[in-house]
Formats: sequence, structure tokens, C-alpha cells
Amino acid sequence: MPVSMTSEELARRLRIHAVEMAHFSGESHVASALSMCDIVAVLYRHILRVDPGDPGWEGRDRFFLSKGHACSALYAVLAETGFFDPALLNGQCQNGSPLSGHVTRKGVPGVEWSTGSLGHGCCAAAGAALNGKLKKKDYRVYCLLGDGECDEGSVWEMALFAHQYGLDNLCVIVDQNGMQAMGRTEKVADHIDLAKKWEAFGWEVRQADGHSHRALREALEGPLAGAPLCLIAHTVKGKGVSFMENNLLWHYRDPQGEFFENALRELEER
Amino acid sequence: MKRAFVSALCGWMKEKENLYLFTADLGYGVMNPLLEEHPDRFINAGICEQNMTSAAAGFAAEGNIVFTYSIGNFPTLRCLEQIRNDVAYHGANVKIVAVGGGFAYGSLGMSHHATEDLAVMRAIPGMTVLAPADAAETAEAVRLAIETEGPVYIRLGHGGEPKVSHEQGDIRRLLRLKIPEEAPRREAGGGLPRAALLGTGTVVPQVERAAALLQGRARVEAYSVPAIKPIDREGIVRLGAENEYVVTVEEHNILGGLGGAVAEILAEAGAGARLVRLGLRDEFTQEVGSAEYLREYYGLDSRGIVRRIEELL
Repeated sequence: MPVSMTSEELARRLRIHAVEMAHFSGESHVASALSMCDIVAVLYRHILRVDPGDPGWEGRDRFFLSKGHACSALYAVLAETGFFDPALLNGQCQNGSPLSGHVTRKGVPGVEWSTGSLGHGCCAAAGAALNGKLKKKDYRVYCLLGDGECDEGSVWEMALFAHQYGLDNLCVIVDQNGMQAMGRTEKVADHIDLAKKWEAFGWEVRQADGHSHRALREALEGPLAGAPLCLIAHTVKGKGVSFMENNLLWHYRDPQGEFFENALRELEER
Repeated sequence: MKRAFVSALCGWMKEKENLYLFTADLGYGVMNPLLEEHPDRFINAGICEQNMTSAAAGFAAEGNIVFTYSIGNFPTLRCLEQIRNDVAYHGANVKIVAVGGGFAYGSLGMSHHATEDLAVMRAIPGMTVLAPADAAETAEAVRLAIETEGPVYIRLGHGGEPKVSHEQGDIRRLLRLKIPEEAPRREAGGGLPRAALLGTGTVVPQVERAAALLQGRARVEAYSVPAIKPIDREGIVRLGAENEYVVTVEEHNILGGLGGAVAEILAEAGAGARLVRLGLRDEFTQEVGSAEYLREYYGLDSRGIVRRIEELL
């Protein structure tokens, strides 16, 4: 990645990768990946202290993708920022590829944790953050959750734990696109007010437009709050491809034919 | 047994600065020595077994050894997917400890009877599965867990288990019990049927006693099997070749635990012995009572074991 590349340009590239990866693999979850491209672009361009030349560097910031089904965006950002060869991306999910349809760290440099079942990555992230606190390390731990994922009870077990152990080195970002597998979150399992819920668990809560890079940076670069931080990023599922936006079909469908061409055209013209 | 566990762990904490215990809010009183000696190594994760287990995995990945601790089925079945995906898949150095395996919490009812844990944990790739019978085996299980890189499950009893009779030995092997000769032994024992009794965990004293009661009617050897996985394959094949009967006894479903493991080995080896698995016959315990009462009810006390073997002979 050229040093001059903006996070916005990086995000655009991630979206193109995500669409291409879904096209070539024939697998689902393209809209979930499009929802989080700006978040990971900002993280990897401006926030995370990582070294693509030394992915396991002890002092690195740790990034846990808890919504592991949306991993094409993570694989793409790692490839674009130099952790591995971007040529691997379009082989995702295909026979013998190291890149599975839910994120794995085996054989994939830069991936912190393998996830795929929801409500796991955030708890492992809390364990990494606890180590940082007890050993007085200066790394920070970031974790990206889906809002549908917040249905899982383990998320709230983690929320209790992080508050109890004062894990102010932990930042959870909720990709709140308002949709989950069978419908709008409020129709499936209404969270009512996610911000209030995290606040009630003793977290510092910030909110931002999850597609505004400036807003995301401001929220993430703000001072440590003395409590674990939850950033609720308001996003659009399928963001960047008009016919995928807020359309649950694209949680499942892989773009082929005209859909693929139109999606790429929209992203390339942006 | 749980006191032996805490005592052993405290000892190791002096040597290993990266050794921690996570509990899901259990261990009142029994954890006092640890809290006094190593309060900074004790993490109470609350009644949150799922987060405890995944967080232990994430914490272990940072170079620590973590024991997770709770009772019965809580640290295993309650958070099984966390064990599978976060602990085992990642090869995390997490040692899962369940107090009250089998019938130990007999009076508390079915929810607290851990009678499928060995089978379930054995099916997890890379998981070592240990079920010590007494305090000495427990201390060795803790040592083996710490020396083993990767996930380990330790099933403990509750407390007050009698000492079993073998010499201290490598708990990865079958440990031969010294059988007291309570009945007059026929010299040489020629012509008597030969049987090997294998028990694991808190049922081992019953196996020991059953073997003693059978002296004179059969040539019986008895073993404690603290390591269910990896199990002493070579030892089991040898017993299969040398005996007419191999009998497994466990406070567990006969599917997938000690009996299951031994069945797999004997079948694959084409060993000659007939296998008899004693345990719960694919059922939940419907009875409530002390562990002693439940063992008797399900035929896993010494007299029940003897009765079953006499039927065979």
C-alpha cells in the first residue's frame, strides 16, 4: 500500500475485493463485509500499531474480528497493507486456499483470532486485554462485533468481565447496520438502545457514522476513558453497492453476471 | 481431591509466574490457600463460563498457562463450543478443571451429575483427558497438565476420596493396583478365568475392592486409568491378549469414555478378551442420593462389579 493512500481509497479497494471474492467463491456475506470496510480501513490506516513485516510482534495492537463471517474485508485489508499477497484473495473458499469463509489465523499472517461462531472473538479479545492490564503492556485490543452478534449472551458475559477488570485498553466497535440473518434487528431481537445497554454495563460509549472516516478517527483517537470503550458505528449493510444496501438478500447471494458487473462499476466510479 | 488440586497448583505458581486460575465463581473456601499466596493469579470471571473459557484462551495465547475451574458440567458442556473453537483449535494452553465428576454431587440431582464429560472432551481434537482417582494422582495430573503444551481436561472428584493402592507412577500408563487378599487364593490359580478390571477416577476404590473379593474365583488384575486420552494403548492391548475378560468401570455413560476408549483399542487390535463396560447404560441418573448410593444403585460399587463378573464366569 502506498503511504499516500487515503483510508477512503483503501476502503474503496476493500469493497472491490469483497465483491470479487464473493463472486469467485460463490459464498455469502458480501453485504456484511461491505458494512465494515470503512471501519477496518480506518483502523489499519490510522489506528492500529501493527507491523506487516512482523505480524506476531509482541508490542502490536491486537485486532479481533468477532463477526468472522465478514472476513473478506479483513483478508483484503491485511493483503492491501502488506501482510500477505493480494493474489491469494480471489481464491478464498476454494479448494486448498488458506482463506476460509469464516476467518482463520492458521496460515494467514496478521489474523489475531479464528472466529465464525458469534460471540467468541470478543471474549478472547478480553483475555488479551486482561493480559495487557496485568502485565502493564501498552498494546491496545480492538474487536469488531456485529449488532446481530449482540444477541449472543457471551457478548454480555464479556461486557461484565471487561468492566469488572477495568479493561480500558479494550475497544469494542459494533458495526450497527441494523440487519441480521432473518431481518431487521428490531424485528428479530430488539436491542432497543444498544448504547444504553453498553453504558449500563459500565462502558464508555461513543457513537459515530461508521462510513465517515473523520468521525471514526475522532471517536477512536479520543483519550482513554478509564473504562472499556464501545464505539457504536452506524453503518449500512451492503454499503457502496446501491442494490445491496439494506437488502437482506445480499447477506446470502453472491454477485454474478450483471450484478457483479454493476457492483464493480459502481465501486470503480466512486 | 479439590484441596489436593489447589495445593498442587499453589506449588506450581511459585515456580511459574505465568500460571493463572480462572474460576466461574466457584471454589469458596477451597481456594483460600491460593488467594492468600497468589491473589494476583486468581481471576474470578463471574458465573460466565463461556466468557471465562474464551478469555482464558485469549489470555493463554499471550504466553500464559490458565486453569479454568468450575463444577460438574459447567466448565465443559456449558461452554463446549468455546472449548472447541477458542481453546482447542487455537491450541491454547488452557487446562479445564471440573470438580465433582461422575456421581460426586449425587444428592444435587441430574444437572450436577457429570456423566458424559469424558466422552465429549475426548472427542475434541488435541484434548488430553485426565481423571485422577485420589490426591496423589491429582497432583500428578496437575503436573502433567502443566507440562503438556495445549488443552487438557481434568475431571476431579469432590473430596475425601480414599488413597488408592498403586505405587506412584507415570499416570499416562495403566497403574496396577495392589489387591489385598481377603479370600483364600488358590495356589497358582491354574484353570481359573483371567480378568482385568480397569477403573477411572473416583470409582477406582470400588474396582480395587471388587478385585479383592474375586480372588479365588478368578485371576484378577485391577488398574487405575487416570489418563483417558491419550490412553495407554500398549497396556490395554497387552491386557486384551492376556485375559479372557476386560472390564471397564466408570461413573459415566458407557459410550465414549473409558469403556469406549478401551473398546476401540481392543477391536482394532483384534485382541482376544471379551470386553464388559460398566457404567450408565446411555441414560441419565434418575436417582438422587450420595455417590455411594448411586454407585450401588447403578451396580458400580464393589459388590455390583463382582455380581456382574460372576454372571460372566
